[in-house]
Amino acid sequence: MTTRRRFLQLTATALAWTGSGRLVRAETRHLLLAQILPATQSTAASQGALLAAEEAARTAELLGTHLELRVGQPGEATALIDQGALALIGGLDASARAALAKLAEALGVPLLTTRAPGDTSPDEPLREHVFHVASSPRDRREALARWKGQESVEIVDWHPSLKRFGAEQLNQRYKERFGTAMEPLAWTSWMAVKAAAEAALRGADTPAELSRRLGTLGFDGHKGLRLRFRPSDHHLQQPLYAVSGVLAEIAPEENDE
Amino acid sequence: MTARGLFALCLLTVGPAFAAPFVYVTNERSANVTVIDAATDKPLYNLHTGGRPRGIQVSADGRTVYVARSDPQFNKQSPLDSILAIDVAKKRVTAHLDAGSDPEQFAVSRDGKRLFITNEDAGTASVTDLAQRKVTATLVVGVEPEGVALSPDGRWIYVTAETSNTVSVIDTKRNEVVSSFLVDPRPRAAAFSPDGTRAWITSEIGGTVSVVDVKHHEVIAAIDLALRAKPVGIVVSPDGRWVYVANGHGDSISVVDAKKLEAVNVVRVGRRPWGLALTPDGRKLYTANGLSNDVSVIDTKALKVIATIPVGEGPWGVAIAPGADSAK
Repeated sequence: MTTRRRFLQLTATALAWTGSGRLVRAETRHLLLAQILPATQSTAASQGALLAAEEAARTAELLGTHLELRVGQPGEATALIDQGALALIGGLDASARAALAKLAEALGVPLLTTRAPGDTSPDEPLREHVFHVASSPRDRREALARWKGQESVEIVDWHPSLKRFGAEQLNQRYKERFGTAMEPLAWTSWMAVKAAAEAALRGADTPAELSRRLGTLGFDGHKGLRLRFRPSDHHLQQPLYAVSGVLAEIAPEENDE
Repeated sequence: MTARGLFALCLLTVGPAFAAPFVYVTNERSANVTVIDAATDKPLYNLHTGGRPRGIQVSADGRTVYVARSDPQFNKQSPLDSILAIDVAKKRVTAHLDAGSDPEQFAVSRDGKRLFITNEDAGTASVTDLAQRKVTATLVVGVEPEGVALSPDGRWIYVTAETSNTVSVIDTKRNEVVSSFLVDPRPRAAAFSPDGTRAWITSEIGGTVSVVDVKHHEVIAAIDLALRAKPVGIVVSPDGRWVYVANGHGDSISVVDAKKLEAVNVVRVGRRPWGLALTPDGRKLYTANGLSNDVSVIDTKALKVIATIPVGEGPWGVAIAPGADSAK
């Protein structure tokens, strides 16, 4: 912890001496993301997002910028966009997703969606500014078909027992930070914030530019493959996992890897 | 002087100059280091390290091989976390050095006085003073730091971080991080060109090698490797002409033309090559193949595997120490 404190001390204030002889705060980019959560909060969704935000904030500090995740209720989304939020993360159920998607399209601000456990609502049509991190029922059906397996198998986006491709490190960081296992919703929330933060740190300083970058960048989700949002429906192309006592990975069907 | 005496004298004089180097390979799952004679490409003996040995480096004078050893149980800090010093001539571990938690990769300063080490779980780089045998500075770098490379002039240390996709630049004069920049997803390892003008960074998930202008610590290009490449380990030829990249789960080595900035060849090797090392003359490339438990030896002119050497379990890193000392 000493190292973290020292790190914050080092980066807290960046001062510059101007020609006029006055000490002023150097111009620093401030990147804002917003997570929209219902009043009945989901612990996994907020913790996953928080971990990604803390990690991205640390990366931002290294790069001489600031990155912040603000959390608001559904009624506060517009206010957060007015405050400069470059992207929204949320939409845990179909009605929340539909409302946020409408707002995102109207204001041209990217929305990254996750799904609460048991949300089996169907896919929505492709929208320019809406990106889906969690698998949809269709994604899971397709994965199950590739798995050619038993009906009793459950298809999940993430599992706390995953180890390969740096998954063990991520599961461990999450457990150390919150004392609980990283469930699928925690991972999708972490991934959503990570993707938005990465697009911002790589230079997207307007919502429109961030949308564009979400559509073109490849991301590392500790799943061993470069993850991209499929252009045809903005669903994240990603390995899913079959759970039935044992855990097995199912790679996505079309992947350039 | 008798003819026999003269003959012995000649051997003594000429011997060291012609002695072939020795190749040291860390085996992360069998807790040892395999030593290979580069003249015959046969394994000679194993050195027990305990724990999980991974990063391996040779001191500038070639007399010491350092090995980063951590606890095989993930994220558990333990006395196993240390850097071992192997005396090349004595063929045994002669020191255990304080390295911070979970040491993975490191670099030895040109003057041989300090080690710069990444601590993966702590997100830091530790600086170990070799005379005091303890950590004298802890620097904050990116999340999940891994690769470490030292510039040929000894001034800069590049530290890659897997999760934040950053490279942090440590000024070895000041023992401080002075700059950081982004590269493609999951940067794993870094290497400098012999003239110090360029650095090369592998990105495992990006499938690329980022080319860095060292003067400005800035990425100037990203080279796409072959399909299925998962670039990890990287070395540059002594003449600076070629960059060799271990493709990890791609089970191959990519050869990058350092002038054209493109991959020009692929050589199939064992399964999941990770660490790489070149002989001082650049003629042979050794790859540690983590899943096939062997080392592939590539003739860099013919670009062919000329030997496959069985080693321990889970070979991870390779280092080559000049053989001159062994002839004493």
